[in-house]
Amino acid sequence: MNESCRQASNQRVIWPIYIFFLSLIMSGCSFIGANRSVEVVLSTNEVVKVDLTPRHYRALSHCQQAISSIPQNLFASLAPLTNEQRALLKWPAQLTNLKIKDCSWFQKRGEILDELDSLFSSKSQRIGIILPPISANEPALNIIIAQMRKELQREGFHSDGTLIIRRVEKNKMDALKVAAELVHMDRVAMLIGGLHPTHASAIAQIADQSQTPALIISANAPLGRSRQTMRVYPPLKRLALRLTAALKEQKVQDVVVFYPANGNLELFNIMKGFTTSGLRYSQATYSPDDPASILAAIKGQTSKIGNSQGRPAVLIFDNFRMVRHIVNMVTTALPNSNILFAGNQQWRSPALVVPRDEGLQGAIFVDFIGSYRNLPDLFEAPMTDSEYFTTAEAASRLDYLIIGHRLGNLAAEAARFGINRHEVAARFQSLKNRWDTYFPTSELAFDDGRESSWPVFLFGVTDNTIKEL
Amino acid sequence: MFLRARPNLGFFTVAIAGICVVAVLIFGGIYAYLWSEGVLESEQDQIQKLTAAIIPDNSTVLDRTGVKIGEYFSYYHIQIPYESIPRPMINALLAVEDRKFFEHAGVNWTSIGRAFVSVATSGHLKQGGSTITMQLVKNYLLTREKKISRKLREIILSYYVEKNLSKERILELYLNTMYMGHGAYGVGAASMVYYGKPLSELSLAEMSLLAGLFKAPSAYDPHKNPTAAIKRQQVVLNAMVAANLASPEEIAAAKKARLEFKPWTPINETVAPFFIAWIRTEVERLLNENEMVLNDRGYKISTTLDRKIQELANKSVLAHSAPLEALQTRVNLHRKKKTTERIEAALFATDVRTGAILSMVGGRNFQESQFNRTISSKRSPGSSFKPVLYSLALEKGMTWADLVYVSPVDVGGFRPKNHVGDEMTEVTLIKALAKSINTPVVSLAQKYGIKTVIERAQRMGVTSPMNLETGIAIGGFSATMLDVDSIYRTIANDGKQSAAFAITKIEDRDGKVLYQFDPTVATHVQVFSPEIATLLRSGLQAVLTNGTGGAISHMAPYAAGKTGTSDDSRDNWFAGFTKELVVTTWVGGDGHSSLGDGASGASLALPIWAQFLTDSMAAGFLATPWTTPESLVSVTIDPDYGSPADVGIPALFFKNKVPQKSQAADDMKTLKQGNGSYRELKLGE
Repeated sequence: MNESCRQASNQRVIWPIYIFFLSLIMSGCSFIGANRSVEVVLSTNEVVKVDLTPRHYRALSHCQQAISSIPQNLFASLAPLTNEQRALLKWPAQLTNLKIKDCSWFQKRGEILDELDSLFSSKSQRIGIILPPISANEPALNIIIAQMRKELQREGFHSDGTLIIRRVEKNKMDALKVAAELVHMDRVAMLIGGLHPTHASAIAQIADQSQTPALIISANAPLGRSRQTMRVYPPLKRLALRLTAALKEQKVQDVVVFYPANGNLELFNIMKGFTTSGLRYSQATYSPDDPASILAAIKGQTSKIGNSQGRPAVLIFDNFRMVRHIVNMVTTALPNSNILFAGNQQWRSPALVVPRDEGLQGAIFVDFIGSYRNLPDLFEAPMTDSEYFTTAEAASRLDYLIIGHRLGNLAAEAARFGINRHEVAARFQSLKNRWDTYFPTSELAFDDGRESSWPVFLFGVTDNTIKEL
Repeated sequence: MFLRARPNLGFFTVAIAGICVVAVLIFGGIYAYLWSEGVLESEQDQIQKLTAAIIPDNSTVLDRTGVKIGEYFSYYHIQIPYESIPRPMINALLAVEDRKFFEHAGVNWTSIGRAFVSVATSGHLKQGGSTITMQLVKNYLLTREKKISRKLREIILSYYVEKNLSKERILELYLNTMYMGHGAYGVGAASMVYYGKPLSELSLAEMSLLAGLFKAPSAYDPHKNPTAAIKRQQVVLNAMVAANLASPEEIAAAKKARLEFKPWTPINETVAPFFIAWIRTEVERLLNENEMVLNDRGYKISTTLDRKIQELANKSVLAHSAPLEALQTRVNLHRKKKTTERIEAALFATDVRTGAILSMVGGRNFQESQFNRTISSKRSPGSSFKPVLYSLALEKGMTWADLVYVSPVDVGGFRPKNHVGDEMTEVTLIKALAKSINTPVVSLAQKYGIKTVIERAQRMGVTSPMNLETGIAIGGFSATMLDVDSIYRTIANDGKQSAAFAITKIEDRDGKVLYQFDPTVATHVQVFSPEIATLLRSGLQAVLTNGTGGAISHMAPYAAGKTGTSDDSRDNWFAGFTKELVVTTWVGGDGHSSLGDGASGASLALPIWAQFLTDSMAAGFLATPWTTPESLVSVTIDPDYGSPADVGIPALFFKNKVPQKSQAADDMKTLKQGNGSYRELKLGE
């Protein structure tokens, strides 16, 4: 630390001028409640005007004396802010040129940092959302964001002004720039995004540097090391665990997995990761538009299914329509094979069980929705004869509504805290579900892996319906 | 005196002795000759042949109304009792052959003497001396060799015949057994052969011509030599005048009468040739006499064949000969084998309720090919077999509105294909049937088990062997038309199966019943309930309204059926029924050639079926409307999703299984039309 102080004292001293100007400004404008305009001399000797809110202005005044004692390499010595420095664009950079004479101020650095933190972002009640250019995800994103707005509105926030949505190309530099702008210029209380891995990485980085909470809304984007970054997404790991356990209960040893070539395989990948489960996997892909490819995929696996020592299981990570076709094709090729068919939430439809398919009797699948009667309060699923089914049109929409609901609640929580961003993150780690009956109220909002907690259900097929197991 | 007389006595004695010796030698020689020639053999055995003679008679096949439609014979006979023989026929015969028949005792010595003189003076026989009795003896008991001994034997036997048989019996034997040309024996057969009508319908002119044939059937054959025949007829008519056996006016009219000779076509080849040929084996089967020869036994075989329906069936098959000939030409052009392919067609119709065979057309032309394709041919029934599977599906609870999954399947290398190629879609059960989609049927068969499918088929009347192979589901085995008929008749007959039959009664010539079909003891197996049968019928009606039988959609209110096309269109079927008739048609090559891409049950067999049904209805065989059991109700459904719809396929359902607006169907529709990645949650990349 002393070394840092020595280095700072060697720098050119311009702070007296700076303080002089600030003193003049503050003494002249302190009686005015409106924004104060201050002029700042940059290191390039360029003078720029900066608008400060009265609050910021008071804070600056308050720490005027303290600033005089800040070592000039303060940001270099305080890692979070050092990195933040690189992201600052214009006048805040001048702060790094402040010269100090007394390093004893460090005793007060926490207070100073709080004030600076406050100066840069907090109490904006805004949420920054970084999205990729319009893509196939757009309909789903629209549902999510619309639901977020509703949730914010319900929590008393002006939804239009609260959400700042920025579209960013899929490269990290652009994402970093936009994330930093959102944090330091728009002063958002929380970042949301990460649909593209580069976005997720940039958000995690900025969140880490600025101690800003960030919610990643993709299944597979890395969260990074920062505790500020969390995932809000249906619980793939839990689903995988539950499905694996169910297979083991059924004495399954060999699992053949069928999935579309461009399908979402996160659940399967997680299952494969459970190396202690003892399940042997083989897999085959197909193109949903090419029936011959499905037949070829099945044909390539029939010997493995037929020769399984235990009960063979066939996992199908595709929708109920494809499930019925594949089950039909497999059971036609291998009648009386006692195959256990299993899958995920994509199976969930009355069309899976109506008309009855003998091959599907006893089949299981996991889902993160149980009864459609127990959805979050804000929206209702169109009900069918069974509480476990809604319409296909509604089903896909409901999944995204729940995500939007979850994000909206967390965003409102972040905005409501109204304190420093890093404190928001800290409070999120101990946040408990409390909003509705869908998310288990006894659980923390995020688990140890910083994954949003989410319920998991296992269903079994019996005759013409499904039952929660 | 004594001495002088001695030499005289001696000479006289010697002379007498010599004469005696010579006489003994002569008569002994004659006796020895006659003995050696058999002239003096006992006549009893020979006469016995005639007295106990049974006049051969054709075994006849009768249609359901008792009209003759066929006959079995070695030689063509139509036995006519003496009392049924028209008097002019007898008179004409007597006038030209034996005017003193009722006066002599078998031999007319005057005629013999006249013949002898004729031979002596002219060196050859100008006029025969044989009486009718002698001719009968010659033809019935003796050979035709020209020897004095044979003639002497003829005379002797004729004498004895006259002693043992009445004149009428002799005439009856003569008129029923003498060869009349063209394979016909007797005037009854000759009447059919030359005039195409029974003897009782002949005029004097016509009968007189027949009487002239006894002398030389070949020389006076009216078909081959009408001039000679007419000339001979005139001789007969003149003889009748001379013998005072007809009035001059009658003779004058007869001489002026114009005779019409019809080429003889055996009835066996005109009405129902394939049926008649098959009935022979059926009789043998029923009487359990494999070696039995029906010919000439005079059996009366009553059958179920409906002559009118048979005629319409013949006509329907014949009407499509031209396009089949053209197809045959095309097929042979592309045929690599040296042999020529023959494209054939067959039609088989039975009565829905009884199983009685009403018509049988075993091929396009019996003269060209006698192979009966309805009974003897074993061909792949293709999709016409599918109702067997659907009966199982419906019985196990499926409804016509249920979605079935059309996906390519592979069962141990067996890969059934659909006509539209590989596809992956969902259709209602009824549409799968109507459009004859293969893969759902194979899947159903696998689920129910091939053994179950075979058992069901056998219960529905299929007797052809079937192997435990998946291909069975789509007709991958060899079946007869009788098998296919049984399947559809079981459906048409409210789920009851009964064996098809054709023979109702067999009587011998004396009227003794040898076999009688008893409908009360005939097996009627209730294979599935009448409701299931009605459901199936509604599905088969959909084949006509919305499926491969669309060309005859207008018939759907009273008809139902199914197409069938085996691999490469080798066999092309249409099987269906009305409330009264079950009709099965088939078109294919005898050499099992592919009939090309355009060939199918719908394009080849269906038109024959449709014409037959249309014609039979026009002829008065009404197809009455079906009734529906109260437990069933008709609902029009969306063919793709099974929901009730204003426009779609009308189908029957159990009242407790009426299709409702189905969330499952809606989900499928939504998924197919919209979001194919249903709940995939693929946010992110």
